[in-house]
Amino acid sequence: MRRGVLRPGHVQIRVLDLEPAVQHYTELVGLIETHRDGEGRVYLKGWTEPELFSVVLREADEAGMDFQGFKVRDEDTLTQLSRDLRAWGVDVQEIPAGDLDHCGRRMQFSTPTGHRFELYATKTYTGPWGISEVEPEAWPRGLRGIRVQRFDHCQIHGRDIEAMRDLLSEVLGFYVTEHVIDDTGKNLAIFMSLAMKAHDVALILDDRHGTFHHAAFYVETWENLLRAGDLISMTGTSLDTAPTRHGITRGQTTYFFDPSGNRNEVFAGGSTHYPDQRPYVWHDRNIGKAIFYHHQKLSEKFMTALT
Amino acid sequence: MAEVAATPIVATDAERGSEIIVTADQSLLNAIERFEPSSVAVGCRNGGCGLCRVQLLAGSVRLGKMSRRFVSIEMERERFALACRVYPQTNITYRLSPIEPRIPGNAY
Ligand code: FES
Ligand SMILES: [Fe+2]
Repeated sequence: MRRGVLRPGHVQIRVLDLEPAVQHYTELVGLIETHRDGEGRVYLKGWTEPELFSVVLREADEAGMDFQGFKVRDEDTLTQLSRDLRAWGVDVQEIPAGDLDHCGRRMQFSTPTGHRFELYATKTYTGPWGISEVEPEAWPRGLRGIRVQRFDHCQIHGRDIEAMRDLLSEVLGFYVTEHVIDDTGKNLAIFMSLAMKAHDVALILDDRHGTFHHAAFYVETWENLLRAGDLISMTGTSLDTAPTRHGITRGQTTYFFDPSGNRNEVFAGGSTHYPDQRPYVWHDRNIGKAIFYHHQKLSEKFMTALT
Repeated sequence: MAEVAATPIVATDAERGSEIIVTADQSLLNAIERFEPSSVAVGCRNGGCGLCRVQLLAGSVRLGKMSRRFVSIEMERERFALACRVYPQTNITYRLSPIEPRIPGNAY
């Protein structure tokens, strides 16, 4: 049931060296730098995104994800959802407006997977980059690199993904689009959405609690992905998986690493889900095809490298 | 004028006894990946995931930034390092010291 959580809003990623990271996310991935704050953090967005930022880079002495934020309908909804989270037994911390520039108050909490998630209702609205909101052109000129459209989703690893699923579905209105189970019916991976996308978050059972597998960015077509693969090669970027297709989501994909070792995905297509669609089920014995539909097997790097 | 060829730098895996050549500006991981790809776990190649950790036993190196989660300051003093951020300046000797590579779901 819909609870007023609209969509993925932002992710803050830790990087070891700020400027090489900014260069990677702007010149290769194709995000647009929109702001720097007093703490030295860099704010970026994809060109279709209507708010001022969706990715924040923070220089730190280890890589990984600080938090992921989801946009909710309005401030009243934010207040109500915070109450609902507390009633569910979650400790919610209010972070005042302005802690992130251009962002209103955020309600932040720890998840059963060991991550920090947050909700917000207000952020500076700029409209998409480079096109007008009135009779927009098809795309803006001057985009760089892979020209991604938006921050799309994160994959996170940790214990107790079934409790995470219950929290996200019962309190925040996510629903399961696809999942991977073993012979006993236990979930090894759960993919959840807020609206019609194949997934807005991916949860993987892993005793490396609270770890980060990737942040994904959306492009429209397989042709765009082929071009992404070309750019990854021509820039000497550390590759994980060359362009291929996922079984889960049916989306097309390529994986590579940012200069601090955080994994990025560029993702295209993917199934759509109306509310009456039942989840697709995958069995762990066929996990290779579920993840990499063409190779039909997992690569060690894909499974073991996390930040 | 002909350039004087630099003396090749040799990296020796102390436990396996194997020797590889490391070219100028090449990371230790990159050299291992090229000559002995099965001997080391290759992850991000960028100092973030810890899979390629080694301990240096001899020789001098230049180090790039490494995630402190996998090489603390104390470990760095004991010459642990992430091979993808190790640039040998002289012949070196090292041993592999990977973080425990785990496959998701297996522990359950
Ligand atoms: S390969 Fe990831 S830290 Fe070296
Ligand atoms: Fe993904």
